[in-house]
This record gives sequence, structure tokens and C-alpha cells, in this order.
Amino acid sequence: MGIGGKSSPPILSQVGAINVRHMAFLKDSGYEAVPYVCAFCGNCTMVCPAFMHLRWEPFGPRGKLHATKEIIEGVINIDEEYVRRMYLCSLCDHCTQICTTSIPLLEFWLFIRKEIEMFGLTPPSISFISKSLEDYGDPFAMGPESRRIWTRGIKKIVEPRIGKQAETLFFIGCACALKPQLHGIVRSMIKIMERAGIDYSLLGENEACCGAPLLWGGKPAGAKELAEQNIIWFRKIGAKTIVFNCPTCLNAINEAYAKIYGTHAEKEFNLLTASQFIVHLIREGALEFEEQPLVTVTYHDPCVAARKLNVIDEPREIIDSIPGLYKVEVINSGKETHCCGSHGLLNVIDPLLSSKIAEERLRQMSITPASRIITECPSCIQSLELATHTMQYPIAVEHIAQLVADALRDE
Amino acid sequence: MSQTKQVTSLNESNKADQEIDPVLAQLVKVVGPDNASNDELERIVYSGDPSSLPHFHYRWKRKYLADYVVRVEKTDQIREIILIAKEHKLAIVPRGGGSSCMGSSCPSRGGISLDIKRMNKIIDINAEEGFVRVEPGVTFADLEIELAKKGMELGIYPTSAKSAVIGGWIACGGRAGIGTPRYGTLEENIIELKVVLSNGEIKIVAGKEALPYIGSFGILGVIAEAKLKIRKKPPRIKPLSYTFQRLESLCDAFTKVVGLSAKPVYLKIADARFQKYSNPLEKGRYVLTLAYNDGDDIPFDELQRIVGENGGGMLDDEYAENEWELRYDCEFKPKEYCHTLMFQEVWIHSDNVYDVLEAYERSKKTHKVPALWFGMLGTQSMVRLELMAMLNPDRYLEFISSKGILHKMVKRSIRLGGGPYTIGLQNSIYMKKAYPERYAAMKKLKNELDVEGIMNPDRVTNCLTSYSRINLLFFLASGFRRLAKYVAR
Repeated sequence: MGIGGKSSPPILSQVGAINVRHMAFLKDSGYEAVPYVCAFCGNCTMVCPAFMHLRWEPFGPRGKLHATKEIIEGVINIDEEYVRRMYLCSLCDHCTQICTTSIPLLEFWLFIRKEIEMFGLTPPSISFISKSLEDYGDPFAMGPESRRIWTRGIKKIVEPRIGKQAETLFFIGCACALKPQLHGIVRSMIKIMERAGIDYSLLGENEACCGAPLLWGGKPAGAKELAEQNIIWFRKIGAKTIVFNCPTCLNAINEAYAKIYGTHAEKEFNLLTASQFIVHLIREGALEFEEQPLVTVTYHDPCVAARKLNVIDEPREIIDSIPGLYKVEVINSGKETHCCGSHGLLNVIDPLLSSKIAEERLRQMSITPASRIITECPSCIQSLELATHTMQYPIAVEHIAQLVADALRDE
Repeated sequence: MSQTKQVTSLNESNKADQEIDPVLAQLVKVVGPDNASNDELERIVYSGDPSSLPHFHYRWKRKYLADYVVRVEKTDQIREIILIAKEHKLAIVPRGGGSSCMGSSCPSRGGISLDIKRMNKIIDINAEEGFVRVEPGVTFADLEIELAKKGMELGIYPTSAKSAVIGGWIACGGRAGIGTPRYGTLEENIIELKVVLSNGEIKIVAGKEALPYIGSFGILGVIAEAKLKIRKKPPRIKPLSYTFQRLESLCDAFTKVVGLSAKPVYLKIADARFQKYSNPLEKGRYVLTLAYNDGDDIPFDELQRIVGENGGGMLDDEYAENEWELRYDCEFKPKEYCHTLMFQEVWIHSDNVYDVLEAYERSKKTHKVPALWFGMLGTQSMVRLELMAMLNPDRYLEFISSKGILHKMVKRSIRLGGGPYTIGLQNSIYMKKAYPERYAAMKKLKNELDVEGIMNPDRVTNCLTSYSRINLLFFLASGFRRLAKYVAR
């Protein structure tokens, strides 16, 4: 089933033909028919990470649609319980992938969150994140000046890059810029670009959040605003190619671009994930590797990279290009990947559930002979790393950029 | 099982309910606070299935909402819950993936929706002796992954395999699925079953003794474990698709293909309207798709001859591959384009397929009903035909006409020696007429094993309304329609 550019089920354009009562919720949104398109086959329930752990059907997508239908028809009311259930979702998009009737479920969940926000029922923890984004431009309330903390020790190399006119821009993202646990990813990307002789630029404190958390928190307008701030800066420095550490940032800016300008971002920019960028460098012969001491790795596909951006082959090609690395596949990989539990603010709304989902994913990987887990999403790294501690299963979790940077041949 | 803060808080809010609801308190005592609920939302979700019918239709059921939802993890818990239900004279409605139609797992008298999905352990895979022992909540996808590690497969799957669980398919009969024409129905693949009866007895049944429980829709007891045959996984599947202009040609070719000694794992027929929503036909009005195990002797020449004799043509490999890819999804694809996808499933001999389909297509024209259909071979001679109508419930007359036509088709199938496929809540009215021997045997067992009548009531041996009443209703509707037409003329 196609995901990218998938058209909505035709019934969505026939809303007028449907006898829907008590339509205050979702009124005139164009989404009010979604619960009626659902065939209630239950395919989505079986792949939903929230259902897999909570095992109550109302937490799965079918149950959520059923509840929404009951609200539309005035059988039950929108209350905190409904809101909480709608937020127990990592927006991993697996339900869209498997939906028999091609409902754009991810889009629908986001719209429901927007409606919830309009009803003033957004959970306080989510509102806190939204406020931080509005006040500080990042979800951690740290402010723009903190966006350079990762440069410690390599200031001489990177400071001249900040704000520099260049065709390649490295978009670092809030998590990588502000969380010390993830600074290694940024440094690795810097090492790779320096080694490949790329003339690149950084935005420093002018970089804003990609907007994804605001979108997940039911504030798409705010998300668009943040994305636009970034796009303006991309233009200011003359960037043509923008490289992202985090596929979610790429996807958020890509989708916001389409909404703001009514055209695809690719017409103006070449937006690349880290693995897409690195694989180009390898194909051009810009990177050379040391032989690795027979390391077995497995690749965890981040939901957004695999299902939204279709970036599946590139990281595997990179792994295959490094001598001495041996790759094993985990079950549920590629478009069938399982969520790490931290996406869609699930880690904010229910850290324990998020952690259980990560543990399950780690369990799947623990039955492979891999001694290292590679991925390309900072959120996945954080949640899987946490799972290695909670499960007491010591295995390294690395970003693809870290794997590449560590394997580079010494100059 | 995860115990999140949220579920705990949900059940904290249920603490008050437990104090005023002694039944809930008893259920909680057996399965714990995380696994029993009387929350309205829970009850609503656990009371539905893919029968996407509008409220005015399906809410005729006496008490369509479960009173409690309970999730069990062990056989003993099923037993305890059944005993509580018995004590309070509450119905037990076993529920697997909730993917069967016809209200199979929908309550009709409230009661307890007994969710078996937590019983999802694969207990034993024995590749040498060719069997697997599983709990009833194991999904086909999980079982497939585990069996594939040993180069084995179950070989038979329902078309709802993405969401169905094994116990649910057993309870629904498992007669027509992917692989059943080649390896036999579930009945032929079940070695033994562990069932919990309504008196709390836990029984292991095998051979003939197991037969009543297969397709019992939970009216005799709850399936707690199954031992099933497994076989070597074939390296590849080879799908082939053919197109036909005329229904008669399609059905003739179909009957002849069914008669060949080489049995496919999948044999589907459909009209162009059905195909339009999943794998559209560029030429022809009907399609026939077969899939064989690549290791089997595929009768290419005979297929070509049969198709040629009937004026059919072969479709390209890409089309056939798509058909195979869509085997789990094609059934619900038309739902994407309509509010209500009404359907009826009939179970008939392959020789009678033309008779039913011709009548259905005729009714489609005379009553101007947006009808479509597909069929798949179940056993080596019996076929499951799914007759559908894409409806808008606002058009009440169209809805009733379609319902009436589908009723006529079931009657026709019964006359031809067949009957409805899935029985569930909605088709129990046909049980006595279509399968009198099975009905009598099940009735006898039901009376012996479930004296209080608490196990999934109102299906198979009993129903909320009667065949005569429904028949009279449609007879009158048809009479008024004719009269209205006459007056209008």
C-alpha cells in the first residue's frame, strides 16, 4: 500500500451524503467521514504499538475511530479520558501503512489533536512543550543561545561555519543541539563533512525547531511558523542541499513547505537525511574506511524515515560499504518497522508506555546476533538506549553518522 | 503485560465502580484491575465487528453492548470468569481479533465480552512431527514468523489473517481460506483442542469429538488451546490471472479448474466492479486468479486450454502478482468508496456458482442495486461467495432492497444444497434450514453442555428472530415494491 502522496479515500469528498449528527466535533473539517470509511477489520489494531502493550482495543486505531464515531453521533462526550486515549499514540503511521481502506490515519490523528486543542482539552504536559516552543523556540525551554553548547572543543572548526554562505546546510535539530547525550551525532556529521571536504554552513542560534512537536500537540499553525523561520534562513545563506540528523525534522519542514508555498520543497531545496547524504559521499568516493574488527550490526528503521520518506536502502548500503561490518536484519524492518515508542510526544504523555514499547523493540533486536544497533533518528537512539538500561541488556545504540565517522580511515 | 500509569488510573477510577458493582469486583479478583472493565468506551469498542451496518439496522439486537470487558491470560481464568457469569446469569461473548463479520463476537444480551488476545503464546513447534501448539490469541502473523524460522508454515490462513487470531478462526469454522483448497479446511488441520465448557470443565477433544467446536461460534465453550498440523514452507508461490467477458464462461472455466487434480492454494473469482477498487481490470468483465505452490506441478497447458475454450485471456504477471499481494486486503477495498458495505457470504458447491451469480447479477439490474461480488474456493469443491452492495444508509429503500436480494441469494444457495458461510448472529436464522443435521447435533450438545444458555447466546442454535418472520418481511417488501411499480405505471 502506497504511503507517500497517497490519496484520500473517495468517500472523504462525499461528506455531505452522510447522515452525521451532533457534528460539533470535527465539524466542517473534511475529516468527519473518516470513522465511517473504516471497515473495522482490525488490521491496524494488531500493529499498533500502544495496543500491543496496553492490549485494550480502545487504545488501538480501530478503537479510537470507533470512539470518535460515537462522539460524532452524540453517544459519548469528548472528555479527558477520550483525550488521553487519543494521545496514547506514537504517530508511528503503521496503521496507515496497513489500513485496508487507505485512510490517511496519521493525518487524522493530527487533526483530532488539533480539535482537542480547540476544545481546550490538550493534556498539560503537552501544553508545556508547546509553550516552551513558543517562548524559546525549542521543546526544552533552553533558548537559542544554548544551541551552541555542542560546539565545545571544536569551536575553531565550526564557529566559522555558522551563518556562512554555502550550498550545503547542516540542520542539527533541537534534540541533537541541546541534549549532551546526542552531541556525538552532531560531531560525527561534522567529522564526515570535514573529511569529505564539503563546504557547509550551520545556523547556530538562528536554527529553530522544525515544528513537529507543535504539530503533534495540535498546533499546526505554530508548527508552520517555525518551519517557515527555518526556510527563510535556508534562503538567506543560499543553501541548496539541507542535511538533517533527524528524519522527523526533514519531514516536518518538507510538509510545512508544501502547505506554505503550495509546492514541493524539492523544487527549491534538496532535503536529505543523514544516510541519504552519506551514501552520496560514499558513492562519489569521498569517504574511505578502515577495516572493522568483524562487527555485527542491525538496523532499526525509524518510522518516519521508512514509512514517510522511504529511506530504507541507503543506510543498508552504507553499512555494506564499510569493510568488516556484517549486517543482520531484525524482524519488522523497512516499512514494517516497529516504533521505538518515543515519537509523537508519547514519551511526554506516558513515559512508561513509551519505555515499554522501546523495550519490546529492543527485545526483537536482542534475538539477532548484533552487537550494535544502528539507526538514524535521535529520538529512537534515546529511547532504545534507555531500554538497554531498563532491560539491563548492554548493547550499543548509534546513529548511522557515528558508525561512519568512527570507521573513517585516519588522515 | 505492561501496567502503565494510565491503565492504573483508569482502574483507580473503576475502584468506585467495583464497590458498587459486585460483579466487576469478582471479575477483577480473577484477572486483576488492569484486565476487567465496565467503562462505556471499552464496552462500545468490544461490542462491534466489521459488520459496518448503520445503527438503525444493527441495534435491533436486544442488548448490543457488553456489560463488562474481561481480558484473560490463562485457561484457569477463562474457567473462573465462566463460573462468575454462570452465577450471575450473564452471557459470555468470546472475542478474538474481532475481524469476523455477521456479529460473531457482538453481544445480543449484554454480558461479558471475553477477550482472548492476551493468550498469545506459541507453546510448542515440532517440525519433525509436523505440529504446533498455540494459545487461541496467537495472530497468524506472529505464528508465521515463528514457523518460518524452522522452515515451516501453517499453510492455511483466513483472508482476515492480518487481524484475526487462531482461536477466532477455529470458532468461525475456518472453511474457506488461503491454502484450504490445497491443504484442507481447519477441520482437517486440527489435531486437538482444549476447550473450557460452561460448567467450568476443561476438556481436551480430538478427532470427531472436536468437530462440534470448530465453527461453534463459542456457543459450547471457549477454545483455550489448539494443536495444529504444520508443513514445510514452499519456496515461492506462483500466481496466475485470467480474464473473461461472460459470466457463464468464467463459471465454466472455474468449475473445470476446480476439477483439475493439481490444487491451488488460492482460487479467486470476481467481477470487474469488485476489481475496480483493488486491482482494476483493463479488459474483460470478470477475473479468475489462481496461486500454486511453486514446487507443485502447475497445469499450465490445461489451464490454457480451459481458458481458451471459454474465450478467456491471460493477464500479465504483474497483475497476477498484485492479485496475490492483495489477497488479505481486496475484500474490504470497496469500503473505501462507500459508507456501508453490506455483504452476505454463501457457501455452495462449485457446480452451482453460476446459478447464484447469474441470479445476483440479474437482481442487481432489476433492482438497480450497487452490487459486486467475489468468490474463493474453500475446499476442493465448495466455494465461499461474498455478495456485496455498496450503500448509503440515507437511501433506506436501496438498503432494504439490497438486504432483500441478499436474503434471496441465501435462500437460493440453500435450495442448491449450500447455505450461509459465516453464521454469527445475523445468519443464525438460516441454520436450521441450511444445515439441519448440524443444527440438530449442535442443539443437542448445547442443551447438554450449556444448560443456562450463557455461552454466546442467540447464534447457531437459537436466534433473536425467526427465518419465517424475516422471510415474510422481505416477501411483503417485495410485494409493496411490485405494487408501487404497477401504480406508478
